This record gives sequence, C-alpha cells and structure tokens, in this order.
Amino acid sequence: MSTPSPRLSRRQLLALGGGVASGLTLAACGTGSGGGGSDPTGGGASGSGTLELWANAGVAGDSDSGLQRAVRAWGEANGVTVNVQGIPTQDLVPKLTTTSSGGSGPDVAIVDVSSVPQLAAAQVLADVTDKADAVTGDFGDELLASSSYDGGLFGLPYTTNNVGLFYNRELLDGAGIAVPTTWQELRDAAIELTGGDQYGYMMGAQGYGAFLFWPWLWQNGGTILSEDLTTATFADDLGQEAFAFYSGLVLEDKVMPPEFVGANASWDQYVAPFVQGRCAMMATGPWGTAPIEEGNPDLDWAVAPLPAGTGSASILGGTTISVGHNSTQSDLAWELVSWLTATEQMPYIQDTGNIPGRRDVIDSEWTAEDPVRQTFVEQMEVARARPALPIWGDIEWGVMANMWDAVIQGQQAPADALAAAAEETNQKLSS
Amino acid sequence: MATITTERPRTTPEQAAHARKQRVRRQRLAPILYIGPAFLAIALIIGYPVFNAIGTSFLNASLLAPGQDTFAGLDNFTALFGDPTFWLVMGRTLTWAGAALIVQVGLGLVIANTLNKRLFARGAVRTTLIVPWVVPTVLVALIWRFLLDPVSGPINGLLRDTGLWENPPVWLADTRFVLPVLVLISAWKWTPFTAVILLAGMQQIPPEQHEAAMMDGANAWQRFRNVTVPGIRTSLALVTLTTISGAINNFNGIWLFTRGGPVGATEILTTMAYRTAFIEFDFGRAAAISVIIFVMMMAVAVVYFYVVEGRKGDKR
Amino acid sequence: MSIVDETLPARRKSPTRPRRRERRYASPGAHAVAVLLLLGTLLPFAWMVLSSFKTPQELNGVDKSLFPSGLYLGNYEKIADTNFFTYFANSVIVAAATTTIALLLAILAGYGFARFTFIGNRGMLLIVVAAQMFPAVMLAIPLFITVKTLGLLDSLVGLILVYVSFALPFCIWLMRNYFMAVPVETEEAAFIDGCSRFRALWQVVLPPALPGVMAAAVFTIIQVWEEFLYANTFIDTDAKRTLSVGLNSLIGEFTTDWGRLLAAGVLVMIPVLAIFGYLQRYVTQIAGGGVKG
Repeated sequence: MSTPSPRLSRRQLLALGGGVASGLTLAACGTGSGGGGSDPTGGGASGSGTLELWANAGVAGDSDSGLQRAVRAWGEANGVTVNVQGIPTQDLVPKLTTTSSGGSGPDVAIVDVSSVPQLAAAQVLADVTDKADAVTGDFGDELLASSSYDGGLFGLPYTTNNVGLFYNRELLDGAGIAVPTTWQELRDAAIELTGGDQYGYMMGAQGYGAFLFWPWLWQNGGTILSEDLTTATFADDLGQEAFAFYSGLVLEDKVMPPEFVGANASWDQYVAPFVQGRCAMMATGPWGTAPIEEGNPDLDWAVAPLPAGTGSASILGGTTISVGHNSTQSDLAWELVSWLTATEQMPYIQDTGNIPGRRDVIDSEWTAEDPVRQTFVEQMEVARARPALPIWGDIEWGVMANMWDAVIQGQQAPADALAAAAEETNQKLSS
Repeated sequence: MATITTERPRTTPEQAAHARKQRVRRQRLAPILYIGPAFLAIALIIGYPVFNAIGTSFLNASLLAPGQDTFAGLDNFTALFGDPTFWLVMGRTLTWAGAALIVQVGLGLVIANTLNKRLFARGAVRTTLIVPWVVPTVLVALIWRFLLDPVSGPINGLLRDTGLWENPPVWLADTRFVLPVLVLISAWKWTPFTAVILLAGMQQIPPEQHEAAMMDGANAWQRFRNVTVPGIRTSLALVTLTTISGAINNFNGIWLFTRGGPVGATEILTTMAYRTAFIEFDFGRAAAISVIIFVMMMAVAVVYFYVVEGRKGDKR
Repeated sequence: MSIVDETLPARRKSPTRPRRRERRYASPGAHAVAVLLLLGTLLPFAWMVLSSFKTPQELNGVDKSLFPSGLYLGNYEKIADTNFFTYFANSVIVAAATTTIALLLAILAGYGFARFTFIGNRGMLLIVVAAQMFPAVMLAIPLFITVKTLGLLDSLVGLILVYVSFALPFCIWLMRNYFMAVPVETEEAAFIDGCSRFRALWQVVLPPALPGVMAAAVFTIIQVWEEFLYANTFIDTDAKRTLSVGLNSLIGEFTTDWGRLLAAGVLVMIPVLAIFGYLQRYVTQIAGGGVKG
C-alpha cells in the first residue's frame, strides 16, 4: 500500500473547525457550572458561600451517602454550597499535599487517622486546638490522641474502628471448634480448618500484613516505638516472639489461601476468601461487613474479639475531620466540622454502618442493637493508636510492608527481617 | 498579522528590489513569529516547573517542614549514589527499558510485517490490533487484574484445569514473575504504537525492491532481513527512542499494578521518585532522582539526534 | 491548488499502485500469524465484556464459574449512579481543544524549524523535545503553582493549556519533519505568484503535509486520553474529571464495585473503536515524517 496521501477537503476542515469551536464553548460552559469551582484563586473556598470538602471515596460515597445528605442539609440551612469530592484513598494524601504546598486545598478534609501527623506537619490540616476546646469532652482520649500531633489537635474524630476476629460459624461449628480466645487456640483452629481448598486464617500482604501485625505485638506486651518516639522497640524479645507467632501462621502452619500474597492493593482482596466461604477466619475491621453482606448474604458469620496473648489489644483506626490549613474561610469550615460531629448528626454516620467517634453514641443503646457493632465497641477499650509520627506512613507502608513481603516471599528469615526493619526505622527516626 | 496580505500587483524592478529587502528583514523576524507562540507556551508551562524541579534537587526540601528549605549542594545526589538501593533500582530501570525494547520492537516487527501484507480484511485487522494503544492505562490495569486474578481469573483457571500448572503463581505478587508480567502487559498496550511506526517505514520501501529480491530467489526471511530491515532503519531508530524513553518514564504502568512491590521487585526510578516525594515527603531527594532520569533521557535523545537527525541533515 | 499536484513527489509513485492491487492475498502462514495477534489483542477485551455481565456473586468468586450464567445488566444500570458520561464528555472536550490548539501552534513552529536557518535552530529543537521528557511526577507541584497563578485550577481550560504544552514538542518535531520533506520549490513558486509566506504555508505547504497533521492529531488525542497525574492533581470537582481520573475514582480502598467498573470499561471502548476505526488509516502516517530518510 503506497500511502494514498489523504487530503482533507475544505469542507472537512471547516467541519473540523466547527467541531472544535463548539468544543471550546462547551469547555467554557464546563468551567462555569459546578458551583464555586470557577473561583480564580482556585481549589479553596471563594468566600462566596462555597466550601470544598475532600474525603476518601469510600467516606464521600455517592450523592445519597450519609455524608452528602448531612452536608446538603447544613448547606441548605446556612445558604452555603458544599462541594464534596471523593478521592481514592491512595491518591488522597498526595493530592492534599500537592495542593497544600501549592497554597490551596480544601476547606474541610476527612482523612484516615494514621495520616493525621504527616498532614499536620505538612501544613495540610489546620491546628484546631483552640476552636475545639468546648467539644473535646465529647470524645474519648485515645480518639483525640489519634487526631493530634505534637501537642496540637488537628481535627475531631469522625468515625472510629478497630480490628476483630471474623469467623465463619458454619465452618467452625461443623468442625466442632469453639471460637478461639487465645493465640494457641487460634493456631490450633486454623490448622484444623485447613484442608483441600479450605483455609483456616487470612493474612494480608505489604502494608496490610504490617498493619495487622501491631495488635499481636501489643498483645504480647510489646511496643512499636519507645515512649519518646525516637527508637524502634518492635524487634525486642517481646516483639520477636509476637512476630514469630504471626509469621509462623504463614511459614510453618500454612493456613492461608495461597493468593494472600497478592492481597496488597485493597481490603477487597483480603476479604475475598472469607466471602467466598473458603477461609474460616480473618482479622479485619467493620469495613469487612459490607462486602460480606453484599457479596455473600447467605454466609453464616460473626465477629469476636481478637484472641488474646498475655493481654488483649486491637488497633485503632478511623477518620478525622478537620479544617484545611489554607482555607480562606476557616471559621465557616469549622462550623461545618463541629456541626457534622454534633450529637444530632450522628444518624448520618450511623446509617453507613460506621461507628461515630462521640462518647454519647458509643455509650448509647444503639451499639447493643447489633452484635457485630457491639464487639467492636467493646474492643475500643483495648484498641490502641499507632505512634503520632509524620513519617508513620513511610514506616508502616514502606519499611514494614517491604519487610513483611520479604518474609512471606521466603526471601528473609522472620527474626532477621524484623531486626533489620527496626534498624531501618531507627535510621528514619534519626534523620 | 501583517504578513497576511492579498496578492500584490506585478511591480517595477525597483519596487521588486525593495520588496526583496523587506522580505529579508522579515526573514530575520520570521522565525520568532513562527516559533514564538509555541515556544512561549512550552516555556511558560513546562519551563518554570522544570527549572523549579532542578532547583529543588539542590535543596533540603521536605514537605513535612514547609518553608524551611535549605541549600544542600550536591547532598541529594551523593546520598543517592551512596545508596545501594538506588543502584539496584537503576539497574532494574535499565532492565525494564531493555526488556520493553526487545519485546515491543520484536513484536512490533511481527505485527507491522503482517499488516504490510495483503491480508483478508486488512483494515479491520489493523484497527483491531491498534486498539490496546488507545485504551487508558487505568482500564488496562483493570482488564489485566481480572485476567490474572489468582482465584477467578481465566489464566490461572486454564493452567489449573488443563493440569499444566497445578498451583499457578499469584502473578502480580510473585517476585519471580511480576516484572516480566508487567513488561508483557505494558507491551500489550504499547506495541501497537511501535508497530504503526514500523509499518509506516515499511510502506516507504518501494515494492520493486521486494520484487527484485524475490526474482533473485530470496525467501521470505531473507527478504525481511535484507530488504525490509535496512529499509526501516530510521523507523527502528525512532521506535528505539520512544520505547526507551517511554519505558524509563513509565509510571502508571507500574504504579497502578504493584506500586513498585512486592519487596521492591518492580520499583523503577519513576516510582522511586514518587515514593520519595509523596510517601517519604523528601522533595529534594525526589527531585534529584527526577534530574537523574532527565539526564538519562537527554542522553538517549542526543544520541538519537546525532545518529538520525545528523545523518538526515547531511543529506540535505 | 494546482501547484500541489504538480510538485508533489508522492503523486508520481501512483503508477505502482494498480500493479500491487493485482496481487493475491498473502500466504496462509501470514494469516495464521494475524489470527494469533488478533486473539492476543481481543481475548482480554472479550474477558472484560464477559465479566461485565457477571453478577456480584460471580465476580467475587462466591459463585465459581468462568462464564456468566446469564445476561445480568445490573452493572450497566449502576453506571447511572456515577458521573461516567460527564467524565467521558470532559475527556472528549479536552482532547478536541488540546489537539486543535496544539496543531495550530505546531504547524507554525514546525514550519519555522524546517524552513529558517537561524543560530541555535537544532539546539532549540533539542530543548523543545527534551522539555517533555522530564518526569511528570516531579513537575506536579510546580506546575500546580503555575496553573494556580494563572487562575486555571479546577478548570478544563487549565488542563487544556497544560496538555497543549506537553503535546507541542512531539507535534512540532513531527510537523518539522513533514515540512522538510516538502520541496522548497513548492512555496517559491507561490512567492513568485505574490503569495506571502504565511499564506503559502497554509495554501501550498500544508496540504501535502496533511498526513502529518492527522498523525500528530492522533498522537495528541491518545496522550490526552491517557493522562492521569495532572488531571488528578488540577481537577477537584467530580463533574470536571476526565475519564482516566473518573474511572480511577470508582476504585476504593475498602470495597470497589468491580462490575460497575467493568461495565464502564466496555462503554468506553465503543466510541473509541468507532473513532479509531475511522482514524486508523492516518495512524500509520505518524511515522511518515519521522521516518522519511
């Protein structure tokens, strides 16, 4: 085929030009609609009754999610347009830091508690210590601690969660196994329940595996860092003992579905074997409920407290709602934040199945209505926050995640890997 | 614009000479008029950020301490060069680019050579083979995640059911396989582009050359080797440039699948730069990595310019 | 337009065409290779289409079956809950505007590089080409500041401006190569007719280089279609997201409606196939300018 040198006729060119012109008009329209977004100072609020609220896509939900309905109600009552933007979790922190270092960003942000210290240090979130003075009594101390950094409060607890033991009742009952309450019982049960295409217990890979290790460490009396946050202590004798148990489930007992090494990108992947009924037990938080109820309504399952070691412990998670550091309307933004976290608005959160961070809700009868919820609320007493370090994300999802993958891929012995990770953490802490 | 004038009437020699002088003067201004707008757009939008990023590479700049940047000299670079992980990642980046080059050019040659023949329904075949190129990487990642799913994916399902591999690996999480798998997926998306350029090169070869070779008794392979390949040298150089620079600068093709994991098995310089910037928040170091990538790309581009463009220039 | 036809060397090649047309189809071997390539290309898409008709239980592995049990349309119905069609329209608008502006500027600049000898011509060209090679990851923050200064954050116009700048280098380079292949005599003839250089460019030099314009257009469209990082950084409002960002925003940390995502993927492919089915004949000409020795 010698190229037939296609030449556009003048008519075609004109048509093309016309299309482009209309495209530009459309583009112009596109920028105008969408509320306060056309604000020339960009990103942030315009001072004309518009607030930008960013949250991860799960919290933001679609237009009739609890958060969006709540925000609409507030907006209508106050004559303010609130634009809620849902951003995938893995993009939320980069996007917040990029926009903030560029001098803009949202007026209100709802972020994962584990990223509060880094977002506080990076001046993404505003220090609301003074503003929040009147309402801090409404929240538990551990929850406030997880919204704090360096002595300042950088938001209010929005939702809270922790990790419990999900188990498949049918599989456990079928094998005549009681719900495990100790490490040894968990291990025995997991081994007993593994066979054929059925597995006893689920683990995560990368950061998921690292995240889920902390409760076992605490249960054994270990700590992640020294109290002054300068030295890693997770590889001391207590830590090594806990890690030997944790990694032993993988390396010696082999009670995980083989695909667990790929559960590294979302909780969906982690929960899947349990939802499929192939895996008898897993440790996860309230977010594990929805995929089970939607994905396999027939599954007979329940949640128990995590099996205990020398003590009980779980890991504290959840979200914090705060004012953006660069917001030009921080007072209005704070009004929305305090309104959203007030008692009257709790049903908006409760409807989503999440547990609000307020004491009065946690202590109310609502928690007792649902056994799953009650288990998580009871566990709150032993749930601990991770260290309030700006570089925490790097330690958990970098150092520890790599360490864990090296262990489950058989590249490094668990004890050596943990010791090396502690050393690397010390380096990061001192630099 | 002054230059858009309608036809001038035929003029006297004096007037013509004057006009020529004017044209010469305009000639000096002309490059600015023609190149200026585009250059301005590039300088305005790309120029400042590039210089800013290069500048940042000489700073201690952490997003965790906004506004407290200090001059670091070459510290970011020496720290990188002294870090064995950096060299590991550098090596992997070169492996990644080399593998991309081999697979994409090899497969691209096969596709282009096939499309250059008189195939049944060639237009439809050509359209189809180009499609992966126009699929956004976000969608490519979605499609391949499903195909490679260890439990419900058809690839592992097939391997199990046929008994070829009883316990097939978790492709995207196995340090032994993940990098080759990503090379193949990325080739699936980008080879059509390579093939298109090679095909265009093949179409520049006069059919007479093939016919002459055929009369000399050359078989298909000999014709491909002795007529086609020499005839598409410039296309080959172009796809070498675009494939290498595309692979070195590829970010989505890795990040959307593995984020550089597991255990750093798919970490290349761009993902390392991203991780350093947005997870470790060390902007100075991340900028230094970017500058190193930039220098590598420049080297590739300069070699290309002198090999291909230089030769072309001589001919003119 | 008569000048074009007389001076275009490509036209003179035309006598070879009828002879080639007489040839029979290629060997069965070549067709076998083509079938293999087609399968490798199509099967992944086929799997996406098949999976998009699976029920949630079939997708999450609760019901074990490789193929969907029936024609479940729930995934497609759920797309209505998203801004998917807006994302799509945004991508089309941004791609069309970017391509037009980039091409207009690139035609001028490409012509300038091809026809004028001035000091630093090649060096400047190298800078132009190199500029786009800086890793995008690192440019996000300073570029964000630039776009903010221009007051174009969270607007498609800002995105178009950025995309134009990043598309320009390749387009300029492509157009330059095409213009260099057009003989200088072409426009000199036009000058004698009293045509200004600017007019000669559009009326005489451009027509033979139109394949290059189409090729540059295709390349730009794909680049814009693909881009993720900047679109994700500069656009906040959901209703202004482009397709890549919009699709990605449907993926969550906790639960993702994979069925809905697959259905959206299938819908994306339909217009893409239609547009590129039409454009594919120009696509092979991308290299024309870059390749002509």
